[in-house]
Amino acid sequence: MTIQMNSERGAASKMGQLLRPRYFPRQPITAVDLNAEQAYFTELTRRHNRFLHGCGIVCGLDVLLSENETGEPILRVTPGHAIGPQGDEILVDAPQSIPLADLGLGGECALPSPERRLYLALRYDEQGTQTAPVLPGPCTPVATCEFSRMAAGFQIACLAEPPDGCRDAPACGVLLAELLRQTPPDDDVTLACPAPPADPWVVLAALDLVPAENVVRIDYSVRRQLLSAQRLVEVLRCLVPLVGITPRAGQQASRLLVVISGFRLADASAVRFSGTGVSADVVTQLGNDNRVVAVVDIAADAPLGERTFQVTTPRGLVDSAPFGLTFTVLPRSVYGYPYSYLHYFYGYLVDVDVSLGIGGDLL
Amino acid sequence: MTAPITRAVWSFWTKPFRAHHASVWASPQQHLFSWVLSLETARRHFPETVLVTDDAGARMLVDGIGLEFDQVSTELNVLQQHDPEWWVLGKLYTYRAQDVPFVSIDSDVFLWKALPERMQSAALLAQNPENFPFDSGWYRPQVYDVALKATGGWLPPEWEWYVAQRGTQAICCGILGGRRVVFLNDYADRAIRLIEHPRNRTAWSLLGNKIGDNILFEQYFLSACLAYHRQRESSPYHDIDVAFLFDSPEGAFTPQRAREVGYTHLIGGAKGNPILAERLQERVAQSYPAHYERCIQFLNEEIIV
Repeated sequence: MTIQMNSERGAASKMGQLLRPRYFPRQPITAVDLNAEQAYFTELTRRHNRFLHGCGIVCGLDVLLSENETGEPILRVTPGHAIGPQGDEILVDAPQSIPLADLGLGGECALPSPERRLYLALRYDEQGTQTAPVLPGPCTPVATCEFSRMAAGFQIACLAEPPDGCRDAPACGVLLAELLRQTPPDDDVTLACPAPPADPWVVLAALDLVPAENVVRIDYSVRRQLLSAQRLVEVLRCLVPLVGITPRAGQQASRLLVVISGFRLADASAVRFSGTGVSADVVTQLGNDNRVVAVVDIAADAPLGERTFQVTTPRGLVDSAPFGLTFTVLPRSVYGYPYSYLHYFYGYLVDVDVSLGIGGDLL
Repeated sequence: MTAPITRAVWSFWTKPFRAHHASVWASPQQHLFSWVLSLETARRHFPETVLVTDDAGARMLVDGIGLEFDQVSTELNVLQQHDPEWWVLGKLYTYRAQDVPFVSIDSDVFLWKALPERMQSAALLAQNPENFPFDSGWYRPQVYDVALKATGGWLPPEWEWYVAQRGTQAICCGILGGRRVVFLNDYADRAIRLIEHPRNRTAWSLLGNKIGDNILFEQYFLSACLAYHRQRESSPYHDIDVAFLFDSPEGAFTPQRAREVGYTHLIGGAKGNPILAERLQERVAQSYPAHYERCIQFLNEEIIV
């Protein structure tokens, strides 16, 4: 079955409909076509960056107060990488020094004042380079020159107002609702794909003047960090140090080995279970960064039920409780069957005395 | 019609018996009486009787109380230096040593009747299947699986696959045997390797007492081997099926069913039951008075195995 969708191309175009050149034999190709080819892929990359990664500072780009060789105060911006609100990759490949007096604001140089907070921001920029002659043609008889390449670059500037392109994240409630959604959303809470903002700036820091000390204070709270997938995994490892315990249960009056898995567990020295009757000895030579192996002894009279546990590492105590990880003490189960049990035989409930073994009455 | 299985086999490794199994019986007499009755009842159905034991076992059962096996092997002398907690090794070595169709019979099992024809012709025969809860049963495969993996131990693929499936069936081996002897040899060989593999020593030392868990390596692992090969069409053991005397533990413990097939197994705590101990003594005294006297004499002379 084919479902005919209503085309909403007009509406969709605000998301940026892309046109890709289609070549065919004996086609006259001009610079317009070749540039369109480039524009298609450039825009595709921007869209990918914007929708799948977002925008913000990926690494580096720290803003530091410093002095130049003559002792004048400067702002230093370290090398780094960012993705702009429109999806551009912005690479600052060398340290940048900005004399405080040169901070640009609407074309004027001005220092921040108590009344006026400034925003040091970064944007993608590109410049034409490598001129090449334009050959004369029937309509342009005189030869001229054009840039044959565009060099990717950046601009750093001070803004009087916070740019709105890459600043605010949706509220946590909205984000979680989106993540856990089981039914279609109400119009007012949906997280639609964001339209590309007109503002290309990424804020590096806010600058405030501290009047009493006559110094500039650098505020990072306005920076938006964009984590790479790898960095995100590393952060998760920090936030979730414990991910499992195997086996998750053991019987009274038994000994077993348990493997506690997680992150940054190297050199764990102890495991302690809550309550009484369950003790553990870490087998240090079997552990590594991602696991702790411990011999667990469960006493015959250990109270039944769930226990939380704590792992002692050189970096501190890691508690299983916040992560919902528990170990359960079960009753001892002994082979050889219970001495009496009930079961159905030809539809009747029968109480069988198994102390006679199997066929004991035949003796 | 397939010719019936002719060989009945018993296994007796004295080291674990002396270390802990002797105390399971109501008295030393009952242990000996049970041997007499197990052999003599089975002899009616199996023309060839074989005992696989060690020197001390042969001195007790053959020289001491005069049991008349057709063959006696002291092959279990090789287990002299082994840890007696691995009592199941005696049975596994016995399974591995067989080269013709056989039925292995525990010494606390009495066959009042011949095994049904459907079992005699089966690739594999056993007492009954038994299921258990994976996480909380008397079988603890996960405990051993985790311990061996955590310590860099060796595990056969049958075990790894079955535990990954959370396999919950085992096979009670009061009797075990069949016509596919090569399969039984292979299974026993792998189970022995699992216990004896040098890489597994660390886990064994850390786990402490393993007496109660031996059934994992005989009964659970047997089920694992069968299930593993059953789902691999290219396996030579793909088609092996098991004929059970009882279809479940409940069936086995139902007196009517046991009576129908003529089968007694003094399983678990039944060995210490005083009522059964008395009946066992009376039965041997009446039916096998010469053996009865030999048992009494043997114990009176305090011949210590």
